[in-house]
Amino acid sequence: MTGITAFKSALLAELPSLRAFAISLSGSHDQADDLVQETVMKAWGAHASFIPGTSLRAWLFTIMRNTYFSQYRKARREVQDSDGEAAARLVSAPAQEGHLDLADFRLALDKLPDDQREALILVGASGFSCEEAAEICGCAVGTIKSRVNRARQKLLQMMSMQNAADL
Amino acid sequence: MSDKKKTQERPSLEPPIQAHLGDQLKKLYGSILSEPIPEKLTLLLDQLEEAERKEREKLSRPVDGSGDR
Repeated sequence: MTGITAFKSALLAELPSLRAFAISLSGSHDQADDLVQETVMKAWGAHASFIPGTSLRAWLFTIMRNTYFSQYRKARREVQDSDGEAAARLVSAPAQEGHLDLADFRLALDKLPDDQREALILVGASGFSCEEAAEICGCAVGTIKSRVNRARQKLLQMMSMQNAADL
Repeated sequence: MSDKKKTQERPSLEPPIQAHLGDQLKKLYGSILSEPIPEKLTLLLDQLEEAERKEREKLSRPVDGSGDR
């Protein structure tokens, strides 16, 4: 009994991170919540295969990622048109100065290739090491590093072009 | 959190700009992290827990009908 309760509260604590990763994968809040829901159900069913002492977040992200790439990826292409809208919603919540900058950043992030955006978010925002990110993505550590690198270069390019256009 | 110790071997980006990008990314991600969790997700966990509890009760009863716990 305590096993279930402990697992439940651990999952509950990871929901914000799961949502954030889902939103960055899918680019839409609605789809993200479906993705989180499905990930939670799968994780619950696979409870026994989680190794205590390892990172629950990494385990959950791996499940989410597999779910996303096997079922949702096509849908992202289909809703691409509303991506701008989703991005606007994403940053519009507290309307403050400086958010314009953040909205630009979000749009730039959305233009990155999926694998680069994912690597950047895992390493740059979710707090994973390159080694953990490599495990989540099922690729070599060097691959993650070079994706992060290319993502940063591209973002920089896009952001500096924007800044130049503003002048 | 402390994962940016060994991974800084990229001289191509000047640190300030890289730091700015990192800040933007964390700000964006943080704004999502602080959003309220949709109720349907917490309800889902409640339902899963409830279902499993019932399942376990069903399983444990016939095996050891007399003893509780």
